[in-house]
This record gives sequence, C-alpha cells and structure tokens, in this order.
Amino acid sequence: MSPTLEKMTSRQRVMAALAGETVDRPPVCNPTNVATVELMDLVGASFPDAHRDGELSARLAATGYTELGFDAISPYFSIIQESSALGCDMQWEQKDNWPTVRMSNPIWKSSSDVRIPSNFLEHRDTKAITDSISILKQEYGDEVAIVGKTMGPWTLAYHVFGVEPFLLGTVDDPDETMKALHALKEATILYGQAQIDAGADVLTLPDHATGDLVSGEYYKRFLLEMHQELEEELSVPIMLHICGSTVDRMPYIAETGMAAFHFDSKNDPSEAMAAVNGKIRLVGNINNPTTLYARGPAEVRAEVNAALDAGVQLIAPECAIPLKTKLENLLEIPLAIEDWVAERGDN
Amino acid sequence: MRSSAGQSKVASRVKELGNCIELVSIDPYFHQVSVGLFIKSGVLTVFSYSELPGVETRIEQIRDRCTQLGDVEAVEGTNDQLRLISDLYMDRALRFMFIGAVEKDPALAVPTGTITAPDTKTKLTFVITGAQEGDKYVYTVSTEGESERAEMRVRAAVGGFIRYSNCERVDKDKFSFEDGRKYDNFARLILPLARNVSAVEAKLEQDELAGQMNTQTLGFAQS
Repeated sequence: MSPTLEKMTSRQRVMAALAGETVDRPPVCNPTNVATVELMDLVGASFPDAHRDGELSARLAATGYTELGFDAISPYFSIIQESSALGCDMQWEQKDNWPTVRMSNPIWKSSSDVRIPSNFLEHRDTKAITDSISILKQEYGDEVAIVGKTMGPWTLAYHVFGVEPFLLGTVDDPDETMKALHALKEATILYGQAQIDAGADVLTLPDHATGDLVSGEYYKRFLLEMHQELEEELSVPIMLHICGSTVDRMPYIAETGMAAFHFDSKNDPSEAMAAVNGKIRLVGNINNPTTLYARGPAEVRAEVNAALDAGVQLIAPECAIPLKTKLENLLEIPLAIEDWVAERGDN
Repeated sequence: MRSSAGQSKVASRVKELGNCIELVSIDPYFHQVSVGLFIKSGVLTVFSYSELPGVETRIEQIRDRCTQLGDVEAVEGTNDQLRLISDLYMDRALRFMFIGAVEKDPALAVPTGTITAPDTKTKLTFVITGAQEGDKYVYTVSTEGESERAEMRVRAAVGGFIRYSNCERVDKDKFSFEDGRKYDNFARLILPLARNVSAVEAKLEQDELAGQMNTQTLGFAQS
C-alpha cells in the first residue's frame, strides 16, 4: 500500500490487487457467492429463480456491493449453470439451499460422449449469468469489479461422469481422463469468453481437485498444464478456486499464471503465502461454517486481521457463504480492513 | 460510489436491530420469507427484510406467539418487540421459541395446564411440576405409564434441560433454572427436546448443513 495513493474505486482496487499493483487498501473481493436469504428478501430475488433469471441474479448479486460494501459483484451464485446446459439431471432446491447435479445419475461415460450443445450459450441457465453480467455492467460501469465464473474441466467431469466413475478412471485409464478433461475444457473457455464479452472484469475458475479427494501430485499431473492453457485463452484476470487443504498443490497453482488463488480456511494464511512464494496473489480465507455462520463480528475481525497480517492480498469468505449467514458478520469484513489499514497508518 | 457498508440500508438496520439470535430462512406461513430474532440492550425484535404486504401483521403474530411459547413479554406500543422477564438470557431456549413461533401452524393452540410430553423411546409420558423449595423454584420430572427404564429416562430428560437451558441438576429427577426463578413456558417448550437430545442434535446438525456449500454438500468429498 502507498501512503500517498488516493482513494480508489472498488473496481480499481480489485484490478490493481489482482495485478499485484499498489492499492489504497486491500479489497474485499468475493470470487463466490455472498447472497443470503435476508438479502433475497430485501430485493425480492430468491433462489432458485435468481439462478435462472438474469435480472433477478443481477439484483441479488448487486447487494454484495450496495449493501455489504464489498468491492466485487459475483452474480454466478452456484456451480451448476454449465452442467445444466450440458444436460445434467438437476435438483434446483429452494430458497434456503444450493442447487445440485444428481451425480448418481451421470449423463456420460467416456470422453467420446462429450458434446457441447450448439445452443450451450443460449440455454436458460448459462444465459441467465451472461444476461446478469450485462445488466450489472450497464448499471455499475467501472464502479465495481464484475466477477464472472466458469467451471473448470475437473468439476464439470464430476458432474457429467459422476464423482466415483471419474476418479476411478484417473487410476484405470489416465489417458482417457485427459481426453475427457480436454473435451470439457472447451466448455470452460466458451462460457468464460461469453462472460468476458458480456462485461466480466474478472473470472473465477473453480476446479474441485480438492484436498479431500486428490493429492497435489494429481493436480500437477492432470490440471497444471490445462490451467495454464485456460489462463492464456481467457483474457481477464482469473481467480482459481479449489476447496479444502491445498497447501500441497499451491506451489503448482502458483505456476499457472493465474492472477489469484481463492483458498480455504483449512489452510493457514501464512503457510499459504509461503507456499505460493509471491508467484500468485491469494484471496480468502475467512471461515464459513464456524466463523461467518455461527460466530460474531469479533471473530470475523480476528480472521480478517490474521489474513492481512499474513499478507493475503484480497480478502473474502473462503467459499460461497452459507445462505443463513448473519449480515452483521459480512458487514464486519470491510470495516475490519479499513481499521487494519488505519491502525497501521499505511494509507 | 452508490453506497458503502457504513451507509447501506442493511447496515443501518443491523445497527438498529443488534445481534441476530436466530434466523429462519423460510416462513412456511407467509410467502416463504426469512424472519429473524435480534437482540439489542435486552430488547428482542422480530424482523424480516421482506416488504411484502401483510408482513407486519405476520411479524406481530410471530411476536405474540413467542409470548405464549417462551417466558418473554411483548413491549407495549410495539408490534415486533419483546423483552425477557428477567436478566437470565437463555440463548438456546430463545432460539427454539422463535423457531417454533415461525414454523408451527399459527392456527394450533399452544398447550396450557400440566406440562407433559410423551417419551419418544418408551411408552411413558413425562410430567413436570414445579414448586418453590427454599430460594429456588424447582421442577420435578416424573413419568406416567409403565417402563423398566423410567428412572433412566427421567435422568435423561433432566440432562436435556441442562443442555438446552443451562439448568442446574437439583436431584436425579429435579432441576432449576440458573437464577432459581420460575419459567413454566420455557419448561414446556424444552421438554419435547430434552427427552431426546440425540435426535434433536442430529436435526440441528442437518439444519446447519442446509445452505452450506462445501465439498460434502456438493458431493465432492469422501463419505
């Protein structure tokens, strides 16, 4: 941070932080959802409709900026829009829960089955997000960073092949796995580009090679090169998101060339910063289930401070927040950052 | 910049309402809106961010229902506020009271009279009576019906009161609230929960997982 830097707009702050440039204060940049059931009621835009209607999506997503004071707006709340357009069996749930893909009922068995429908970008559930981004761009212009999201091939593979068949395939026939991932990567690029065209300033790229299921070596073997390709193909800064303990793969993630890595609270911020060694920015990692959901502002503030003390460049909840998160806890995040900066006299 | 956290409608409202004690995501009796119970300076407020017509009437209905389910009283001249009848703050009891007030059919009358509830694990029926014993109001749990496990079930029920209302065990079948005062509504409210703690805990855990996005709920974790 610079002692002489003038107050930045939210968008300037996010873009500068992602580029590794000087900022007036670290941004609150949520790569994933910050909508809650209360915010849904406030603006009359509830799940599941807000996933499937661009206008409702934009209205709900904007509250992250207008009501919570975050520096980014992320209108893709879930992780299933592309999978719905690919033809997966969907469970849309209701207001208080996340839509899911019924992965026990996979639609494809092998790489040769992978077909991206010609109307992929026109499907109601993909179009809802591109429409939402267009609306937000028109409404907020250059004021705030608009964050799109395109699912990585590994996550898409879970959805279309089922988790277990896909993971078993990585052992039984790794070449076939690579073919499938390459085929699915096209959907990632297609949808990412469509969101950039609609006005997204940044893309989140979730690819759930999570610590729970696969090792760091798996990441290197199957995904590192593919993520490097995605970074080259998509022309805006990308924030890679992988849940769980990921310190073992952070040195590889740091080699992707992506702008930032959105990391989970299962990773200590200082340890994570050491693991990436300055080669990629970190976004995160305020704990969801315990801190934001069940505790109070004091605990939220302590976690924000811990992340900032460790040098984390962009602050955010670790993942999509629980839909019943208390608003007082979310409001505390930007306040804690401002106080942290003021106390240190950095700006 | 259109607004910041410090100036927003939500930020102003949070300042007014205080801390959220409990939030119910879906009111099954009013357009599926969310409703919260908040506390500030000892005053409880029932609030929804919904602005649908009729929401104020529903808020009042929930507020009034709380006065029947818990040992709280309406704040005169308001349609949304409550106050505790003493300085004792029972977090979990208040949460259960509020959830019941929102989620239970408002057309059903709240039971009055003797405090009873059937046991879920035997054919017994629990009965609770209260009496002043020295400086404490003491509640005694007894059972009606036949079961070899009656004594054990009574102990378990008393344990449930300790868990959910911070009560103190006076004897194997007796408990009192922390400040020794009488709280008949809370005793009636907690009894159905106290009789089967493991089931209640499982339900609470399930409720907490709803709306959480993590590798487990997404199906991306080892089971």
